Amino acid sequence: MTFSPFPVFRIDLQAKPHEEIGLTMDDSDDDVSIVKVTQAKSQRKGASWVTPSFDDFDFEPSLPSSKSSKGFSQSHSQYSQPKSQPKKTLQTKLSTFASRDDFFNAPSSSASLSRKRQREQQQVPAHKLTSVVKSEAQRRKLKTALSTDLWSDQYQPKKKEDLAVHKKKVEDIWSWLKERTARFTKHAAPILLLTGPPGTGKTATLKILASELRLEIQEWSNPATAAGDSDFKAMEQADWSERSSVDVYSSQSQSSQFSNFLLRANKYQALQLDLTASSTNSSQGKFILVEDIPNSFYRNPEELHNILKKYRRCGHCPLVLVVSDTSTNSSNAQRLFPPDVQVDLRLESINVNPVAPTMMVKVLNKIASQEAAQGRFAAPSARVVESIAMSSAGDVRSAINALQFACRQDTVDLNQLRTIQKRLKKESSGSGRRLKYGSLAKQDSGASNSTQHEVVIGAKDTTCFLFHALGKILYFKRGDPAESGGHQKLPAHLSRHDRDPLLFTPEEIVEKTHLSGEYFNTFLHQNYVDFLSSVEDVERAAEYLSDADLLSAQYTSRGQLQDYTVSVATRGFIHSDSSICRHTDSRKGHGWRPLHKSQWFATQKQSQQSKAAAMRLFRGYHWVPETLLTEIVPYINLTNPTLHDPGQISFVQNVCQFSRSSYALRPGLEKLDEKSAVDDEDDTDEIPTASMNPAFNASQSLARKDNAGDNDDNNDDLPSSQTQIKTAPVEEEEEFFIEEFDD
Amino acid sequence: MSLWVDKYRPTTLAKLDYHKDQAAHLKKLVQGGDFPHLLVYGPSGAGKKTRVMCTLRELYGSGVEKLRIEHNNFTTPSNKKLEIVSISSNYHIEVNPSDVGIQDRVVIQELIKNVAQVNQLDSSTQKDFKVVVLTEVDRLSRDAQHALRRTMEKYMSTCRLILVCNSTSKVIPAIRSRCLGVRVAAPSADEIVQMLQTVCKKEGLNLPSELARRIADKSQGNLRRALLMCEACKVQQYPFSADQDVSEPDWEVFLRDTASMIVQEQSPRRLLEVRGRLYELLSHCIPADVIMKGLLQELLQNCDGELKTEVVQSAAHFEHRLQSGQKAIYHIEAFVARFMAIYKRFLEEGIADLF
Repeated sequence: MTFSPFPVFRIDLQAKPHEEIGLTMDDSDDDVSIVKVTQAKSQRKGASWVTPSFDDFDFEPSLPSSKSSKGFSQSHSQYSQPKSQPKKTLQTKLSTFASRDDFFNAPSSSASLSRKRQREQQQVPAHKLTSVVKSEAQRRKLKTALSTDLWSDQYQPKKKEDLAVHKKKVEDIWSWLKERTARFTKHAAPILLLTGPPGTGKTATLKILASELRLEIQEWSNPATAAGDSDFKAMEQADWSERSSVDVYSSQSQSSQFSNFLLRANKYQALQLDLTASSTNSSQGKFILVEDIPNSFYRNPEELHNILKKYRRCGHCPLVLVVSDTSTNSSNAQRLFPPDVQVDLRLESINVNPVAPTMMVKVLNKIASQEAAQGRFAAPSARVVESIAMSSAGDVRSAINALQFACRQDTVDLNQLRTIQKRLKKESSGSGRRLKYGSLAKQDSGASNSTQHEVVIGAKDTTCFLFHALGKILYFKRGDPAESGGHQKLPAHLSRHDRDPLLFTPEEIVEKTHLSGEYFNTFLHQNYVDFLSSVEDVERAAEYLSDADLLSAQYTSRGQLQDYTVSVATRGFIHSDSSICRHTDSRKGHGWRPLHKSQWFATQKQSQQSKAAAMRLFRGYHWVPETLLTEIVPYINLTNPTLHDPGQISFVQNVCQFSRSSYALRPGLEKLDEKSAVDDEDDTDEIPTASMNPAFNASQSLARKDNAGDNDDNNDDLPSSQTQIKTAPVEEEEEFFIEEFDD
Repeated sequence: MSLWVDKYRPTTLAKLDYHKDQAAHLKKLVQGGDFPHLLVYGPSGAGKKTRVMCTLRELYGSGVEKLRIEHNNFTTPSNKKLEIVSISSNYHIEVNPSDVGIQDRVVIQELIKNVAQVNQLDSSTQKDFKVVVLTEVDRLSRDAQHALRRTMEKYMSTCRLILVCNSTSKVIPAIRSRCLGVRVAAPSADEIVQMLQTVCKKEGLNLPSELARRIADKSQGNLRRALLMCEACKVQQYPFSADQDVSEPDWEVFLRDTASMIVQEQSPRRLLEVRGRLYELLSHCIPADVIMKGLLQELLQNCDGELKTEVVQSAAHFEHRLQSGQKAIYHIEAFVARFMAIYKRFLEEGIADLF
């Protein structure tokens, strides 16, 4: 035995007295009563069931309690053939050990061990199919005959040309990989952030490109459970008597495992598990792929940032992070990597768009025809394919799954599909229809009686980012009243309120953002003025917004009225734009305008904080807050602030400072980005006075002391909580880490 | 060093400088033995709290001046922790329930219960009730006001309430009818001048009567403000000159600039600039209704007579919404937009008439 992962624990039963066996068993688990039986039994037969043939085997006595206890706790009759029992348990134990080899990938593992593992790996599918299948082709045939495989797995793209991803994006990723693996500057490991909705072929693209560029991928996968790990560790502990204290798990945290992985993957080659593959594949480099970002990083992204910073300094190969934009109201990528961090880490980011409908149809048709060629299913009609493609919202995976479902014999005749066909026929009779994901919904708003047919097999619930939703409302479009039949003109005396019908329903759009109506309104309010050209329009829109706020003011009825507030605000805004009443009206002088985040919450927060601070600092004065802040504090500023303590002085100066330039254009506006992560804030009218945080005050007075002379900047000098990156110490720590792995 | 406002605050009813007959009434009320709940109302800076404190002193003697600041903790039914600061002596407790926002009902009920459940220690020499002073009653939520009504009756034997507010219009009638209303009117300009002179004499300063008059005019009947202004003037320039500037708080200047911006130009772009300034005011803790009032005052000065009714009406409309709505900015902005529209129309009509 050159090396063994298992504790070497030899039991020489014949040499030892029986009591000792009893003792060891006693130490094990909870089967104390059973042990006593064993002891009694073993006095009689102990020697007989351990045959000398086991002698030189590394015996690990931690018999799985379920099996062993069953064996022991049976009646005497079972003990009449005990010879077979322990043997069996030992064998099962061995097989579990063998399968645990996967956990064991320390570099020192012997060649014999890895060979053994290979043999086993090859045997696994054989077991599954219950007959030994040799050639790859045969096996696939068997599998497809069972037809339980998903087509989305089966028809994974194999070549660059097969990819449904846009050509340019593929080129981008290709050139990135090529450049970054070829040219490499020290202390600046390239990191790529690949984002996009799920099922758009991010990973597939990477895998294919890697094989075409002959790059090796080292992929991080989250450890399944800590339990398996700790079990294994417990076994490493040589001392059997400590077996009882298994509960002391010595597992690492996810984040430290992740950082260890990065360092290791950086330093070492992957183990060549597949001998045949390694001989052919002389890889020209490698990159690390991280797709499952450990959950703990979502809670505190700073940790991830630190690890990546570290990696950037000492990494040797490119790192690709794949993040799906799955979440409903905020983008994961934005949450994990806010823009400033992206700049800081010099993350390059490529965003994969949803697959275009035409491309999707092409892919689906190809698969359908391949399947049909094999004669198992009838190829679905072009319309069905089209409708599946459109309802998928650019998710190839779900579209293929939907196709597979639609092609099954027992589902083709589903009612829904037929109605869709009918509808699509009607729709396609219209002039030159372009494929567009939104088109189904558009049709609905025009002729609202056909809305119930919307459900398509495997249809995805489309979501909409706040940015897009806001854009859709602000750049609203009107349709031709002649096309949608039911539109009636208003009587003459109301003609100034007459508008052409909208091409969309605002409520639907807001619903898709998954934000509360009030919250959406604040964003609309922040941005609407830019889009109106006359004061009269602004006046009307402002009043509608004021109405909307009033509607949801009552705490008791807020839940029910929330939806109406959105209607009032959005439709009010759209209606009050008198320059676009007809579908033929075009926007004059409206280029693209930046959208901004709502200032209200920040303002609210700041005023609450200063109010709390004021009440705290000037407690001795016992004024009501309003008087304090509108009269006392401003006059203290004017009279003699130096007579108060420094905290008070700095506060007074801060609160009484207004921007001097009378025409300052909106200070401190935060731009709303395409995928900005927005958190729906809770009711802000619950004023958290209880949270008069002393930390705020302390840091405030400290921070204020620094820039007492700085008069212009009043709002932004919050305590500098931004982490300063100190390069030197981290680097030292880094070296230390690598040392550790060397031995 | 404390401000003049605090330094020269009268402490007994006899020392009050104006509304002397009212002071006499209060004195008689206290001497009469029984003492009803009081609702003290009047404009800001008229001396409501001064009067309340004087009354308390009349009731309990100098013991009420030994004040201590306490942090009271309450838990709402939904298990939210509330903390409120109260100022109390052995005989009374003063609290501003609107500090805790919409949870004020809990505070009112719990606090009054706590106070009322303990009898006065030595009732032979003292009055047999304690006093709870609630400030800013007009900012209490409806819930809290209704809770107050019940609590008032229940603990009448051991506890009296003195409610202080600016206006009774926001106090529910049920409470108004349970209290003896005491209106503290703002001092007249002459009284303010007199007060300023007295204070300056005590400080050893010589205040020209013209300056005192100007300060009094500018203070708009707010004695506190007049004293603060006077003190600011002293810091600015001493010895006083009759024609020196009376300084105003920065936010008022800022608000006035904002109003003039609105009058200068009526366009969506200008509205955005105004909004930025409104946000700045709000973030400096200037209450929304104060902003509204200030804006209206400034805007009205620029209005023609016939416009005034319309502007005031729309201001009242949006001020009402401001009170019942949640996000003040919507309503202030809607008012500004409305004013812009009205004013623009007026200007255009004026030009049309010209030709």
